[in-house]
Order: sequence, then C-alpha cells, then structure tokens
Amino acid sequence: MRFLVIDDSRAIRSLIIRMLKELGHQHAEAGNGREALDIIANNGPFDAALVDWNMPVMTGIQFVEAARAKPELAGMQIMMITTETEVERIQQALALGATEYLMKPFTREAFADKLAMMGLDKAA
Amino acid sequence: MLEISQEDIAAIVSLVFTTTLDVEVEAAEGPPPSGGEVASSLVGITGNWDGAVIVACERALAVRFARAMFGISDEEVGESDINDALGELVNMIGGNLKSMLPPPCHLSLPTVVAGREYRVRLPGAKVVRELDFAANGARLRIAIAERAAA
Amino acid sequence: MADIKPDDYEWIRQFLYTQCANDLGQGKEYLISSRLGAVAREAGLADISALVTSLKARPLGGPLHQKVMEAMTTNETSFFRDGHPFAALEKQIIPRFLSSNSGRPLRIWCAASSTGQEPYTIAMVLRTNFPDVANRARILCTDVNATVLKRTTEGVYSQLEVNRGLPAQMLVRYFERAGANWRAKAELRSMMDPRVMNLAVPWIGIQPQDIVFLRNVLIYFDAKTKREIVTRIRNTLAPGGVLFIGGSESILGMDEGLSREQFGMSTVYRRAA
Repeated sequence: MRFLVIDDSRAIRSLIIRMLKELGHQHAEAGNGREALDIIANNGPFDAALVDWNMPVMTGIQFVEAARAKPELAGMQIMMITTETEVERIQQALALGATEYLMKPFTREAFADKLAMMGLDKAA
Repeated sequence: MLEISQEDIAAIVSLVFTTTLDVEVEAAEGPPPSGGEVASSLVGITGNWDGAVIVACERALAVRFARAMFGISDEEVGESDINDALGELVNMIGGNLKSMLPPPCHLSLPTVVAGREYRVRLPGAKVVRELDFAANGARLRIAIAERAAA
Repeated sequence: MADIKPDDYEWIRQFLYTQCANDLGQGKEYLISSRLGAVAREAGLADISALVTSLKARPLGGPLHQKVMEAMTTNETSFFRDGHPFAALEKQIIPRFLSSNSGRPLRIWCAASSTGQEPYTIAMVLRTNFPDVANRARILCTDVNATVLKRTTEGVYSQLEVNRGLPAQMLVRYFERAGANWRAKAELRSMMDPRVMNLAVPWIGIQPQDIVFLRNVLIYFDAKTKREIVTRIRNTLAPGGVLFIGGSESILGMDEGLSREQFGMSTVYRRAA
C-alpha cells in the first residue's frame, strides 16, 4: 500500500514512517496540507493519507476538505493522527470525510489495528 | 478558572510517556536538582480558555524522547532532533489537556527553548499549576499558565 | 528483577492450580516477573522470592493471595478484538435469533469479560444494527477478578484503550469524555450485568444463554477442568444457542452435543434447537 504521511513534526513523520516500513508499506511525506496536495498532483493518489490537524500553511482539516472536493481522490482513505481529542473535533473530521481518527500519543499496536480496520493491512 | 485536576494532568503525562517511551512516570516533590541541562517547550491555548502549557525536562529525558521518536541511538541524536521531539512532547501533552478545557479552544504550534537561564513571560498570565515528575531518574516539570479573563 | 527460583516457580504454579485450576505449565518465568513484580513492589517486598515467602506465611484467600491470582489471570484485550466474531454476530447470529424468536429477550454471556471491551463491543454492535434487540438484551459479564470486573460496571477506558480497535465513528457515538479518560454512555452501560465468578467452580443461577463468548480463557485451564467448563457451558446454552471460543483454541473431543458452524473466519459451536 502507498501512504502519504502529512505532519509538520519531523519527529512524528519519522515515527509513523518507521511503523509503515515495519508493516511493509511504501510512503511519501509532506510537512503540511498544501505540500501534500502538490505531491498528490505530481504523483497521483495514494491508498491513504495519514494527516495531522495543526500544521502551518494548510491544516489537516483544510486538507480533508480540499481532498474530498476532488472526485479523483474519492478512493483515497484519510486517517487523522492528531492531539485534537475533543469529541466535537473527531465528529467534524468524520463529517468532512475523514475515514478514521487516531489520537496522539498512540502505540504501534493501535496504529496497526486502525490500518487493519481500514483494510490497509496488506503489504505493498 | 482552570478546572483540570492534578490527577488528570498526571494521567495525561503518564499516557504520553508510557505510550511513546514505555516508561512509567512518578510524581516527584520539589524543583528538579539544579545544575543539569534543561530543555523547555511551550504551546499556547486560546479560545474559551487562554494560556499556555510549558514542559521543562532534563536533557537525558529529552534525548531519550528523541531517540524513541526517530529510532536512532543516543550518539546519533542531534540538537534539531531534540527540538523536534520536545515540540511533539508539548504538543501531545498540551493537546490532550486542551480536550478537558471548555470548548472551543485552539492549540498553537509548539515553541522550543534550550538552556537553563531564560524566563518566559506571558503578559497577563500567571502559573496556576506546577507539577513535577520523574521518569527513569530524570525530572520533568509541567507548568500551566492562565491568562486572566479580559 | 532477579531470576525466579525453581522452588518459587513451583509454589506459584501449585497455588494457581489449586486455587483456580489455572495451569501455568513450565517456562512462564517472564509472565511471573512482569505480572507479579508490581504486586511485590506494591506490597513493599523486594522481589518475587520475598513475595512467595510472604504468601506462604499468610492464610490462603487473603488480599495478597487474591492480588496474585488476579495479576496472573488478567486477559489482554481490546475493542473488536479479532473483528470476525462480531461480524458473524451482526450478519448471521442475531438475524437468525430474530427469525426464530419474536420479542423474547436476548441473553449474551461474556464468560471471561476481563476489563469489558468484549461486552461493550457486543453492546455497540447491537445498538448500531439492532436497536430493538439492544433494548431487550442483557449481557452477563463474569470474571474471576473483581478489580477488572469493576471496570465493566464503570465503563471508563483510557485513551490508550479507546485508541485500539475502536472505530472513530463508534467512539464519538457511544463514548463521552471523562477527564483524561472516556466513558461509555448509559445506553451501553445499562446492558451490562457484571458478576464475579470462577469458571472452574460449578455455577448456579445462570439463566439459559443464547450466545456465549468464551474466548482466550480455556488456555488457562488444565484438560480436565477445560472439559468440565465446556460441558457446563453447553448445558447453560439455550436450545439453538451458540458458543464462541478464541481463534487459536480448540475444544475438539469435548464438544458432544454441539455442532460446528463456520461463519467466514469464525467457528461457532451450536447447541441443537
């Protein structure tokens, strides 16, 4: 599977990418929503985007809205991975088209479980 | 008024450390012993509650955090790795604390300050909670500053 | 933590065997270390050896013995663990129950419910897909460990726990924040009927059950006790009732009176109607 990891924190990107590699997946990375949209424009859609909420330039929630406005990205799943943990925020993200939501901090088991729930557990 | 209990703050600190470092944190008494190098990070919260969450920790703990986040050895950990890891540490603690504040509130991007000799001034704010913890023999202090309602 | 002395290992093994027919077997030093280390520390004892000495000096059934028993028998669990049993429940088992029963209450028993993720998962499946059934469903939750069973009553889970296996849609629909934790809403909690119970001892007062979950618990018992438990469960099943066991478990040779059924990846055992 091909994942796009979107987070302004290099530390979190590194952590997520390591977990993806262990599970046998491929990845690209972006530091904010704008960069992510550019990467998608150049490389085509990914199987899933893993996206933080609070980022400079373009936030994760703006990215979800922008991605869901593009019919060609309808097949791309989006999981928010964020410290935003209020019920209202999770509801908002799901309503705008996020597929799943993982709260930071998270364990590798929780991460792998979420991918499996999304049917993303098959290695590339 | 900040209505988050000490227990809830401790629960969040413990959640962050057990999840990312697989390390238990314990409450500690009094300020950290002076002398060691300390790194601090801060996130601001605005909205229905106004203030900041500040995390100060001994360098050994910051290195360990960077090591866990980047999957590298102590020797490979550089200053920028520590800064990034500490930014994420305060983001995780601050973000989870925010979920217990009256909504809506917004979290700022984190700021990291290295070194011991500095003072952070948040105009109009005062520290309303200060909790000390120890993890693996290294100390950690969480301070919450609240800005008085306008 | 220092190594565990063979004598201490044997004493703990015997203790668990006689008190709850729990067959630890050999080579579980790591399990004793990781689970009893904390019990020893909490009791102010230096190590496992000191803990065993202290246990020997006290009457059986005291609080320290209870803590050791609880620490050694607690099940690791998560919401929607293994997934497929709950899919079978939603797609086949409950629809079949509905087609053969009109308006009768549904009785479900989680026979080793641990910290409650399994019964709460069942409750969410029912509330989401069969709201009428949920209103007349009762989930009996039993565990030998009173401390973990209390968690089922309270329905409070840490963020670490709700992060695992629980779809975000279900989290926001059925849970609310409780400080740093999350609490199941009353519509789920009201379905739970928690009771402390040791499966190794014959039970009384359990009504006929339509569905029994007995997953990943038989492994703790020796062959004889295992057979006795399966027989008693079979007798507790209502006619047409079904039994789920863990994916890696087998009750081969002890399933008289039960017929095997396959639903996707799930094997269930059904008592004749």
